Amino acid sequence: MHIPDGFISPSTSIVMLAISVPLWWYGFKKAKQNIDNDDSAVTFLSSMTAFAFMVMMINVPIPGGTSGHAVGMGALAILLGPWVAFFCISIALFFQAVIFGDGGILALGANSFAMGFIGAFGSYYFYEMFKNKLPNSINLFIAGYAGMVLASVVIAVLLGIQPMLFNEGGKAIYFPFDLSVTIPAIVGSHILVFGAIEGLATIGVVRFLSQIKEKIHAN
Amino acid sequence: MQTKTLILFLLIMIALVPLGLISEYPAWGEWGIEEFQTMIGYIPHGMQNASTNAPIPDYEFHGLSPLWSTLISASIGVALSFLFFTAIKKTRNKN
Repeated sequence: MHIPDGFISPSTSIVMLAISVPLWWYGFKKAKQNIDNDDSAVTFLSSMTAFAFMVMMINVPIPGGTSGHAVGMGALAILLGPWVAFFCISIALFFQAVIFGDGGILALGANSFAMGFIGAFGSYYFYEMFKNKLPNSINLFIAGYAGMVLASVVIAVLLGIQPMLFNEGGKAIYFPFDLSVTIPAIVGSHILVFGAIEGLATIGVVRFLSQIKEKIHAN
Repeated sequence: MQTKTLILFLLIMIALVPLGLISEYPAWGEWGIEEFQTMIGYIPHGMQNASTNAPIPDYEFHGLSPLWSTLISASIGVALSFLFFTAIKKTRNKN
């Protein structure tokens, strides 16, 4: 799910950066509020960022010669609130891009927007929608599942519009497969498999950590 | 209590990360650029100069086994996360 540099056009990357920078700034302010108001928040935010970093490294193979991974957006959104979750996921993506070459540096805006912003807000609002209406575990699963599938839609669209927007002489300049391929391949695999993996991760992590989360979810 | 739970949580996660080594395949679409040559008969030219110069590409350390590379990379991720938020906390103290 990490778009590498060169797979989307520089203009696409810059548009996504322009969208993400003000969102990062607001997420940063929210994270800093947490840290300023609560001495234990540093440990908690660091741990959740580390969790997102690590869970994205756990590639799960599926039939057809491809793989995918959870992101942690469900657990982070529910435990930290969507803004701080988005910020923490973006920081994990930043380290992955800059140190480990996983996901592009110019593409960081696109990846953060999809997995961080859409993922965390998707998870959060689905969680709120069914809160107290469904058993908590089912609600946690739906939250993770929904955030993940929504994030995959953004990635599939960003990749799939490339050959439609940027081609010369019938040849793609960037990612060559259009929406008719990217939507079923990326969104389809997230609906069938990776959304469920995120859902299960959300249940496991929120249950494991719910004993200590109480004050941190302030904003 | 809180700290102990989080340390346990992070240790469990570090122990789980090597499970990702089971998969030999990249995510859909995240292929190496040579594979586009095989798939569509050419390498889109905008992709060619997009090489990354990451210090630890693909979480692999030269000369270390995949297991150790993965465990060390995960630990670096944990360390960087703590350094980052500790630094944010420090900026408050200066004001």
